[in-house]
Amino acid sequence: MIKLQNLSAYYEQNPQKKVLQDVSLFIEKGDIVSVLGPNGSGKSTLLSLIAGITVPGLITMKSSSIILDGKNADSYKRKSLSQKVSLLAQHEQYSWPFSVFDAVLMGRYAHSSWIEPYSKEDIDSAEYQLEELNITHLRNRSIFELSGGEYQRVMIARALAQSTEILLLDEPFTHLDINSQHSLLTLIKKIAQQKNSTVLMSLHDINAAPLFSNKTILLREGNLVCCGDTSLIFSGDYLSKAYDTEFGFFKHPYYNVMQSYITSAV
Amino acid sequence: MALLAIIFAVSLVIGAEKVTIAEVLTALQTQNYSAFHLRILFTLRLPRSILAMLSGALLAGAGTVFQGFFRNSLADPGLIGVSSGATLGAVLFSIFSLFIPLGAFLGAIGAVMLVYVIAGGKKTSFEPSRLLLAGTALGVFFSALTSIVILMKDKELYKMYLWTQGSFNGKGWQFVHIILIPSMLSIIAMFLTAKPLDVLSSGEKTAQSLGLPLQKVRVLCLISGSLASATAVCAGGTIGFIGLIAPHIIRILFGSTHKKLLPLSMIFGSILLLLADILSRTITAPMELPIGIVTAVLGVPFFLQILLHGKKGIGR
Repeated sequence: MIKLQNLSAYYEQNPQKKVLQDVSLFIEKGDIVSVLGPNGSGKSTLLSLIAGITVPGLITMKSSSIILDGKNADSYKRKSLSQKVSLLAQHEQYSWPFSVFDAVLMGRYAHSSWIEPYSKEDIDSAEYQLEELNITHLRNRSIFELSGGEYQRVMIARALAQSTEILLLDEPFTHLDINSQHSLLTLIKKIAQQKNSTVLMSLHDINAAPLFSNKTILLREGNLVCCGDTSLIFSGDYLSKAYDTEFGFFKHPYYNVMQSYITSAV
Repeated sequence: MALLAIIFAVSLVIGAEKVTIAEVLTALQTQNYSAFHLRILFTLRLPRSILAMLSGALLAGAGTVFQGFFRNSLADPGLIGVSSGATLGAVLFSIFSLFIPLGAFLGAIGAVMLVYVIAGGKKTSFEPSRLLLAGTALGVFFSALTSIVILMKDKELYKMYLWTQGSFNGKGWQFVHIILIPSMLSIIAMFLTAKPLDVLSSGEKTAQSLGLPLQKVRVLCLISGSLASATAVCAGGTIGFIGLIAPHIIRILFGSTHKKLLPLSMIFGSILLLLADILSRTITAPMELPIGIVTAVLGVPFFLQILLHGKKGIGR
């Protein structure tokens, strides 16, 4: 369960412009949530703050609160928060050529001790994630030698190895081809439903939202436009408000959910 | 390890005066250490080789930690200005007759923090070019200040000059005693950074989300790396490139996980510095070359090669 109350944040050098402004919302356990909105609408910031990441220069206002399972997120220690929430961050790359297995094993860091080597359980869990993501054959490859789709599978395997109830994915499919995106989303949805875990993922492909999520958060310039059932977002003028352009809707001929298309460009 | 032992043994017998291994063994058996050659061995060469070995391990360890900390394969105590900072601190403290190793440590940690701030430590990520520019500029600046200070105190000029160039010549057991405890402390502290450095290399946001307490780990890296660099400077002055080369080669050969990288780099650094020390006292014997010159001549071509080939992914 995630509860945000009046979440507001801004960057030190520009206190007037809020990156997030009084965002209050509630996500139940087991929800799969799409986070939609134009570039710079605060999607990444929202996910980072829920994951408890310190972003240099970013200040969260005192009136804000993030409550995870009834407990204020500030009161978690770094490690125990990471046992609860995992984040697949955007634009971050490894600095050294680790093997795929070593990279996935790092997902177990929050469950292991500072000095001791990773336990048998950690290693088994990493092996299991390789299998689940269908990348066992890449096990000993360098993570610098993978294709975009393979790399993203490794990163998702690492996030899953963290075995958290809440999984945050920041634009995980932006650079992937349509087939890789579709198969990965299908897999994530399946795993999340099996484990009854909560998933928040920011997406640029808004038509993926009705296919893979039951809820949608819609942001515009740091303000919450709407948080509700995805079917609700895909009717009415919510999308038009968020993206400053007109949308039309049609029924997906195969999956029987609503899809959107732009009717006018600004 | 075996290779290190062999080279350590070789370093004991090579020098201006020949001492054979047979002589050493006889002495050990008969408990008679009074022969001239053996006095050379036990009062001069043994401490010297221990110093070179420890310095090599410390420099390579510090290089590994700084490379992990800055997430950049070009970080090295010499290149990022830490060694020059330590030298300046040590020279300043020696003028005021204060405890030299403390000066070296303060100089080292001050230099790292300056470079860290200038290279954009408060922003999300370091720009490699800024790191190198800041490090090099500060290094040159510190060296210049050191030269000015030395010139003002011309009585000890030659000794200090040799020391800033790096040398183990004439350093006896008292140096081993001074650096032993800080060496052990910094080596233990550096080993504590091994697992966190793996996680840190995933990026700063990701590392936090994986459960890494970023600030604590940063402080541990800064302190352990600076203490190691400063101790190495106390033992042998400014010696460049060991901290750059050792982790780089070990990473290519044995992979990137710091659990292996740290100890293997330290062993390799010891081997390299012992070899450099042997070369420094044999090439121009009976004259001695400052060891910094030897490591620079060997290290610069290697460094240029890394620059030419960039930070490409290497397997494993």
